[in-house]
Amino acid sequence: MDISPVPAQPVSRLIEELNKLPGIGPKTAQRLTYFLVRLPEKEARSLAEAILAVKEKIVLCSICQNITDSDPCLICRSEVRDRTKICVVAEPLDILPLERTREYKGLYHVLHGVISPMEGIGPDDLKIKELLTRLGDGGVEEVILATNPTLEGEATVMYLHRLLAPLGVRVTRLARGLPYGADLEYADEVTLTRALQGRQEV
Amino acid sequence: MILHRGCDINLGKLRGWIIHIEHLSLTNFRNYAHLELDLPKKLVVVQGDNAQGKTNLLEAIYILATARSHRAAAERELINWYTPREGVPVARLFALVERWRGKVELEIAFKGSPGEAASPGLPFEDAHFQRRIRINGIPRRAVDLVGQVKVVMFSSLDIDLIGGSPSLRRRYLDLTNCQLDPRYLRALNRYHKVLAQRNHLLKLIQERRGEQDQLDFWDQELAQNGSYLMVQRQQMVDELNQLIKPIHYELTAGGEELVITYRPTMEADNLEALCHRFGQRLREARQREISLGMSLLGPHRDDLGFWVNGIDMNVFASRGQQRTIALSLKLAEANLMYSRSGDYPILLLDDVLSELDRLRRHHLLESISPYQQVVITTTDLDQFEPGFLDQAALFGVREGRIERLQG
Repeated sequence: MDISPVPAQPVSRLIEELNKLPGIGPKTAQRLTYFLVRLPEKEARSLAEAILAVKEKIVLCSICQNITDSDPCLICRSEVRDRTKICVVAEPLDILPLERTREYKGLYHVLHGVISPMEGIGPDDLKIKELLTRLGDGGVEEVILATNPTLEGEATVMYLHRLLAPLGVRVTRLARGLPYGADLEYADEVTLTRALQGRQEV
Repeated sequence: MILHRGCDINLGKLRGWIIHIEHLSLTNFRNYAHLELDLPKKLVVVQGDNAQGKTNLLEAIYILATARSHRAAAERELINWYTPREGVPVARLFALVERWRGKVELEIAFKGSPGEAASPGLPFEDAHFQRRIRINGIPRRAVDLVGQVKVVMFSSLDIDLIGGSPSLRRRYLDLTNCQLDPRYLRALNRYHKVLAQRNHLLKLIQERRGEQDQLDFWDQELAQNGSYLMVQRQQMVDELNQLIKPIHYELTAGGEELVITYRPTMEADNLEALCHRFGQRLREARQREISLGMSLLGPHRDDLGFWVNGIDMNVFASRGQQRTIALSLKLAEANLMYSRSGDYPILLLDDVLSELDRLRRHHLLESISPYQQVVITTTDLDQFEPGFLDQAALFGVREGRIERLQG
């Protein structure tokens, strides 16, 4: 008879489900599960409902493709935002730091990924058609490309630039160079080279 | 470990900057369960029978300098899997290095994932395998580590550089250039990423799941990084040729004139022209690359040629000739590291004396005398000339333990 200490079936199922989440390894999944087992039923129910609510109520904004609970999203509906600028980001999460700057007052467009042949992600898998539709409606003067400065991010920038340039809209990208508060001494050559190339009049 | 911040600047009475490993500490590394070893400057001779841990000791030093193993096989083997003390197998290598600009602590840990130990037959790619690098206790990347200490390994495997496959010669070009130029490693990493993405895209286009104009970006990146690699490789080979000719001439008692030729897939006068030419060749080859679904041009197809008195040694060399060429190459490489940076590399001689005749052995031992730290392994102390061992610190290695043999 097998008497190895296997957890009860509902417990092992929850461990498995949690283990699928990003950043959660088997150990953390176990710890979370045993925490949840001890949780009062009311709180457990509230958590479960929150997860379901996300799935039921959250949709993609039909304009900017950001995740939202009201379509169009708050930013796209806003009266005070500058409708002549669209900032293109790879993921919904990228909008948050840009909003925190309080510098940018324009609109956004979420691609939901970057071009990466290895993962089979081509331009057709990104929300590019939706961006073209928005530009076709007119009124947009500048598109700011704000993908990460990785190889895949650069590939996406170059693709979009070639696609958008003939449309007569100004296409810009975020500056690349030294992070604020950084030390020249510790900057790598690639970053410093970029910073030199992108230098500005004082 | 205490962070040493020595500033005992020793602006050498000697010709080069003094760099040497003061202390080496290995945990779960190959057959070393635990090793703490103080290493003196100058000559270190480690004697031991076969399979006691001589090569593993030199390999540890090599890895701490280059973040790679000199053996092309899987890095996964590095961990001593049969040490069940902890749940997760971890190999840790540590060196305290004294340099003229102060001391530096180098550390690399290789970590396998739990459950791995049960199946040591798995190939490297299948194993979840993490490498963690620290310099002075601070987490760093491989690009920060490589070049802190320069090393040149002399090993019996070197002769495969002459007779073996081109991939071994490309690996040699890469490992040596990485130590000479930190930008080389960055360009190499980026080149390999671009190459992988580009090959996938070529296959997608072949299967009509991608557009040809998407290649433009990857072509440009491939050409930019690839050209840098080729220019650096060419320069290294040019410099090696200057150095190797007199060395090989002397090793063969004036009988042989050795020339190394670099064989890139394309050539041009300078970086800019090469980059331009690369882009042009890629456009010409595009349809063929798509139909084959792989990248056909670039430094990943390069080769090195060795010519003695006009004869191609990759094809026609005898074992003895290959061994002598390999020895000349390594001596020239050590010279190159010194002439480029002013730092003496640490020389690692892995049981190479037994394979050489008396003339070459004598020449090798003469040539290494200016270097600041030389670690030699041997099965047999009789291989040294009388008087040589008097200048050396002697150690004995047995079953993964090392002991000092004399004062």
